[in-house]
Amino acid sequence: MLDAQMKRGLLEHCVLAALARGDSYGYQIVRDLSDFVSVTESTLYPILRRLEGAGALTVYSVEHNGRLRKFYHMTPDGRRQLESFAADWKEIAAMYEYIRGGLTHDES
Amino acid sequence: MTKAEYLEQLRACLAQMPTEEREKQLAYYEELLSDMIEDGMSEAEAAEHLGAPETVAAELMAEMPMATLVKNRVKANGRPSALNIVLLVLGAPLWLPLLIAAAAVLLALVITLWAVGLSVGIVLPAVGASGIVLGVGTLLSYASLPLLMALGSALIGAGVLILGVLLLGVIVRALAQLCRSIWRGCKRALAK
Repeated sequence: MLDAQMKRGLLEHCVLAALARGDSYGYQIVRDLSDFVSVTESTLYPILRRLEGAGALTVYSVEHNGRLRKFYHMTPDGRRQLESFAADWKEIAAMYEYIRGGLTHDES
Repeated sequence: MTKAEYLEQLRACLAQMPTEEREKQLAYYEELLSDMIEDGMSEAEAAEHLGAPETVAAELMAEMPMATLVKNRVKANGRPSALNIVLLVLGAPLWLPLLIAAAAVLLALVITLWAVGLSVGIVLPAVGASGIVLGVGTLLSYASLPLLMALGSALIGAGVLILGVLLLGVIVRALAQLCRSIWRGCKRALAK
């Protein structure tokens, strides 16, 4: 089980990464992410709000089938945040490799 | 449950939330339900997929800032009548000290917990450090203690120091977790 704080940070960047592939809306984001992470519609909303508050994304409405659909767009600030996260993560990925190496080593 | 019923129940569960905020949340859930239905789910399936409105509402309320919860708690009691205002003002000498006392007790509790935790956590590293100083000091000065004893003292000191620092880390983390739980508990009580 991942630490709640860590998972929250990870999810935030997963949402940014989904938006880096193009503007998207709530249901689509959940569907895109569900292949990789367990995220529910209710957990996504606070994340979107937090990212919006931090200036990492903007919101606009598009008419669709006679109703409004909210689209989320990543700002340059959001991209910078994503880039710095990816840079930090290199270090963690190296640690993960080392941990995994320890596990396979133990099997012998 | 139909989409309209779901949204109605969710709205009722979020009664404590500021109106503007509540409407934003409801719009989000309405859009989700519409998207799921468009995707081929029935209204009932879509509602079930989101989870019970009570559960969703509880999660959303816990995300609200403390100040908002308190403000709405006060507002939720409706416009105070003239009598209530008079009673409130006349009663101030009674309820104000009580309120301050309650807040002070909670604050004192938190401070005490931290003080106890930190002193326990700091004693061990201190004992360890003094052991090292004693051992190294004896080694460096004229050896009144046998050499091995001085070395042993320094090593035991180093061991206790490391153990103490580790323990201190555990205590600080546990205390932080406890404070966070208390805070969330207060919020949950206010959101009810």
